[in-house]
Amino acid sequence: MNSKISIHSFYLFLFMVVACSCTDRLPETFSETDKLPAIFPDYTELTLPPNIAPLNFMIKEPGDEFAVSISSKNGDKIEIVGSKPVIQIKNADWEKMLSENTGEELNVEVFCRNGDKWTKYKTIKHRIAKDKIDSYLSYRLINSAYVMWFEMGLYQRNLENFDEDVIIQNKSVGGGCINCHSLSKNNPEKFMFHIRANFPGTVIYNNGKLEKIETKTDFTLASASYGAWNPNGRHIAFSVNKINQNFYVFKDQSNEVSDKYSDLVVYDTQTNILTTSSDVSTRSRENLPEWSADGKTIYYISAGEATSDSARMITRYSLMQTGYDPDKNLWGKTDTVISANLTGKSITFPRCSPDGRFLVFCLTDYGYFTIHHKKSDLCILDLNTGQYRVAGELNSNQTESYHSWSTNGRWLIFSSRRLDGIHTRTFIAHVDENGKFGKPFVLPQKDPGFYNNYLLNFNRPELMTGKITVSPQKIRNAARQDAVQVVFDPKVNIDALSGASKIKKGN
Amino acid sequence: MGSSAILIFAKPYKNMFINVSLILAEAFVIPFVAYHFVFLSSLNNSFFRSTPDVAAMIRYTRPPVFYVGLSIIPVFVLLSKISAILSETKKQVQPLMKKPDKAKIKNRPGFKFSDNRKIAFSLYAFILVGVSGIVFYKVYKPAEKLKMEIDYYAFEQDWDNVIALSEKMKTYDRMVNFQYNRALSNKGQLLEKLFEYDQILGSQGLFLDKPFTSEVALPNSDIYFDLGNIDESQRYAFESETLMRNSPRVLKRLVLNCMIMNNMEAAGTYLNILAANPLERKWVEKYRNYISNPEKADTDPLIAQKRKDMNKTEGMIGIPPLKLISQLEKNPLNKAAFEYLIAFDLMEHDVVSLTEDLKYMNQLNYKKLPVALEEAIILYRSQGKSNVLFDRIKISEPTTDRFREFAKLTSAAKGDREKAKQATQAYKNTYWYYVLFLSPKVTKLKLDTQPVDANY
Repeated sequence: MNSKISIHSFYLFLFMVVACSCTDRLPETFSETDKLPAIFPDYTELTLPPNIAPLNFMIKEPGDEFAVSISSKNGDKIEIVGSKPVIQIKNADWEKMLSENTGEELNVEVFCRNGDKWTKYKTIKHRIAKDKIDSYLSYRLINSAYVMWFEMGLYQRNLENFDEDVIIQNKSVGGGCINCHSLSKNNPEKFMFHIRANFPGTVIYNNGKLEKIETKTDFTLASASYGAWNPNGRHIAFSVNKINQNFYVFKDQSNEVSDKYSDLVVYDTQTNILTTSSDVSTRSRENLPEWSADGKTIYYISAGEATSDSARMITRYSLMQTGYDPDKNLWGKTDTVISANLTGKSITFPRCSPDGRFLVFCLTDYGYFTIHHKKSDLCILDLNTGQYRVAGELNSNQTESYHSWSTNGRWLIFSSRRLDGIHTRTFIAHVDENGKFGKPFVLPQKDPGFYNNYLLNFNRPELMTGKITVSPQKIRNAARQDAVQVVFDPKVNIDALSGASKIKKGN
Repeated sequence: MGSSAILIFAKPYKNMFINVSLILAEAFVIPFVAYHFVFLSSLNNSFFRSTPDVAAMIRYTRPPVFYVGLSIIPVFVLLSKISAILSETKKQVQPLMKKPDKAKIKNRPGFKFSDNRKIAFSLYAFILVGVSGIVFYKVYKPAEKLKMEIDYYAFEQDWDNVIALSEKMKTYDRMVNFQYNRALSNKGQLLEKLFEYDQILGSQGLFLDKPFTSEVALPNSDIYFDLGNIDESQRYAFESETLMRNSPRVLKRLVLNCMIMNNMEAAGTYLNILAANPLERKWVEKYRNYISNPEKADTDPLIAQKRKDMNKTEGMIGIPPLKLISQLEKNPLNKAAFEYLIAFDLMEHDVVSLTEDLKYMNQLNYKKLPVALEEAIILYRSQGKSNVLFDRIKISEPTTDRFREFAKLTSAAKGDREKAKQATQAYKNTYWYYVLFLSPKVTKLKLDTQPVDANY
């Protein structure tokens, strides 16, 4: 009995020693500075989705010990104290704080101890938006090469935590190239991607059904490239391109991807028919189709015929639109929305907001493949007024390129190389009803030092309303099947076409 | 699987059934199930690949002798099993025979009952050593080993060893030719000794831009780094990084290129990856210091020199000589670029470009005209391709005498090409021999390419 009491007392004593030695408390005395703390990534003064994963960060101020307090109007504070400047916030605590405080301010206080003196930095203030962001993000992870590839894959990331899963990897298709994935209205039940080199074709996942098609026909230049789903979830607009890549010497850029030819086509997933019209299959280069919110207009870019190598590369694209009634397969007239002559620059990657109010595009000196263009910037066009502006609040002195809207139209994600000028990362920015953007922030990672240790590029980020649930094995099996040949629309007047296929065949 | 199957042979029936079932499950069912629910690669890889795939140029091949070597273990197991069965049989048979006098056997000199096992063991060991020797002999490729050594010494910038080992190669290899030329250039001897090597691919032994295969990515990054064309070096370094992720050689190149281009953030990222390699700690420490103190990078001799050399004109420049000219226009003191440019012109028999490009020689303080140039000018003069510039250049007497002799020998062949080639073997190391007999413009030799390797 006595020995039992002794043992219990010992454990109690041990517990108290351990408990007391945990200094998980914020400092009570400190000096203050009105300087914001240097942290990485730059998570300061943001508008946050209420369902975003924790914004873990590293404190870049000198110190022997660090403390962080995160608080808002409702709920308990989150306090983190430690000897390392790496701040990792518990998912559950963060989620609770955000969900209890939508529309409120989120305050982040950072303390650093040097010697025996604590310093408190100026409070970082975020705003927690009421609008959620789509819960998933899909992207391709690729290396920084231009010609070679080895391993690549499509992945999906849960934006509410740090889970990342594979959708498909290229080793499933004998090392071929997997590219140009896109979804219909961010719906994970409707997506597609292309495969090149080995097991070529286009894989489409459509409400539980996987199929593979071959989009090259006798009347089209090449297999389909850049695609965009109609909001109706049935039609996909593609461009067909003869793509070249050149390497040369320009300051800050050593290569250019350009098209010798390109046309637009529309594919009907129900009838397996590929169609086009003489207005979008011309000697000019029509490219990068994008549907309007109501699915009755196709926005695209267009540049003049490439009469020489120089003209092919150093060319400016205008923003165009054409009507298309997918139900009746009727094409409308084409019209210029923003002329390259007016801007003196080249427009590319038009993407419409889901409410049809805005269209975001990239503006660059020339060409359309902007990921290597340092000067590429994001712009926003108000479709009601026809006025556009450079979205200065989004841009940096590095590349801003491919972008995607959330389904509620309140968030924009885009690719940027602003962190180190080489690696493409995904950034998130809030958009208000007037088209004004909040400060963008990089996709949060569990390890805040992630981007300093990661060499793959987040390519073609696309938001998704949920997870793609079809297994990678099933996608692999579908990808390895023979492709079903699409049928070129017999109603198209071939002789009226003047586009790429006819030019190439010498017609 | 084979070994396991043999081992359970001759066990009691019940055990054998269970064991065979387990072996089959492990060998067939697990990969099959994993293919359907775990792995993302092909069915073939699920069964027959046990290690991750690597890029084409560092992949091991599997010749038939590989499978012979692989079968050694189950063969041994089979032999052991047979031996055990025979011993067992002997034990069963022996009681039927007259019991041997153990005392007599024990004391009998030489042969003992357990000696069977010793003989068997010796036999197996002999077979193992013998087969291993045959396998090794079959798979050992001294040329490949030499090639790897040359590549290693090139990376270590031990140019004397690169030259010495290159001269030992018995068969022509483009990559060896390429490293040999690099070695000469780094020793400042490119235009002196260029033709001491059989340059049978001409200018394609200088640059590896075409055809673009996985094998050339890193070496091409190296040569452009040598020449100070950091943009091109970086481009090929990116390609290499795709193929050989986390390779210290590639990461170091990326770090240096980024520092030269003043992109310290990216350099830091590559250093972080390299820091995971404990063998590279010192190197990482040195260059990390440059990130915290960029002024140290400014005074690093290598970085400073490359920053000067990378200065170049802008424009659409695709082919190597135009890249070199763009560098020389901005930095005429880039001797390596000049020598490669002249070497290119010589290999291409391009008299016009050669004449034009010699203008860059003015600022390079050559004490005497390099041998290859002398040989080229005297040759072109003799062919009536001379010009004002060539006419002004004085050719040394030794070169003139050698040329006379060479010309005599080729004339004596009276148009018989083979005869002339044989007769002038002593002049194999001259530009004249190259132009007449080795140049791909004469031999029509073309590179054998494998397009599929371009992307995998």
